[in-house]
Amino acid sequence: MADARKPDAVLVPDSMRQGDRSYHRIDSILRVAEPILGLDPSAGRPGHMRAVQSIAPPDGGFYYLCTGNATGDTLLFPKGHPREGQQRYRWEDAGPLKLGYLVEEATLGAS
Amino acid sequence: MSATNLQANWTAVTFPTNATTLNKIDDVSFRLGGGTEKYAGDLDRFNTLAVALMTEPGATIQTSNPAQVMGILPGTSGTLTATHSDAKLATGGAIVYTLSNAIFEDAQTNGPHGSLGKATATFSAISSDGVTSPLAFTRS
Repeated sequence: MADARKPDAVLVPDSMRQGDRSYHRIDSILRVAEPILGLDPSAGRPGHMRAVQSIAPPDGGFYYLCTGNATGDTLLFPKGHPREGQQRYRWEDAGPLKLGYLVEEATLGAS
Repeated sequence: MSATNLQANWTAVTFPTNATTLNKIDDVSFRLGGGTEKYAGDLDRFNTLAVALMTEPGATIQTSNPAQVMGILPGTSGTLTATHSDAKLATGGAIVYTLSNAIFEDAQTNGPHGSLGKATATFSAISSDGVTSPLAFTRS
């Protein structure tokens, strides 16, 4: 069942990266994620993307984790956390994307 | 003015030491840090396996203000940010790099005869969870 909340994160597959310039490649990922996250770069609220490389993502693919924060917002709970290694988000499929909703104990912008 | 789709010169280069923006920046490099572990054995004369097991992102900054980086204690950690500006400073053409959990490793300074003094600072970074890259990108 789809969650009524706005997602806290979006996983965009690397296969959706387009363009022949660095700027275009970054833009091609973020312009997919930003509307879903309610972010607006023209209003000074851009999305941020970082690679996730592991068999840990929901289906083991190569994704970019997109959120509204430049730091923190890791895929998993961090080392040393009581829930270390567990997913910080509950993931829902949305076509090629995965929409993430923070689980209990997880805080936006933190690891 | 529309973006040029080219980037030139760095601004807003920050590392939390002294809470200052680093200035007189000559060059900034961010690296993905990929590499492969290779294998050869028995009668092999060439590697028969190359696999990317680890990724170690990092950054290097070259500045003409050596004091700013020579004063940082090796091992100091924080968030390193830098903006690669649009070549004509157009809005919407810059790339912003953020290296979380950056660790200042070393700085070297030099000044050949007849040249300006420089310093090069190197940073590594760690991932909080081991699977999310500490290097984030956005544009402005």
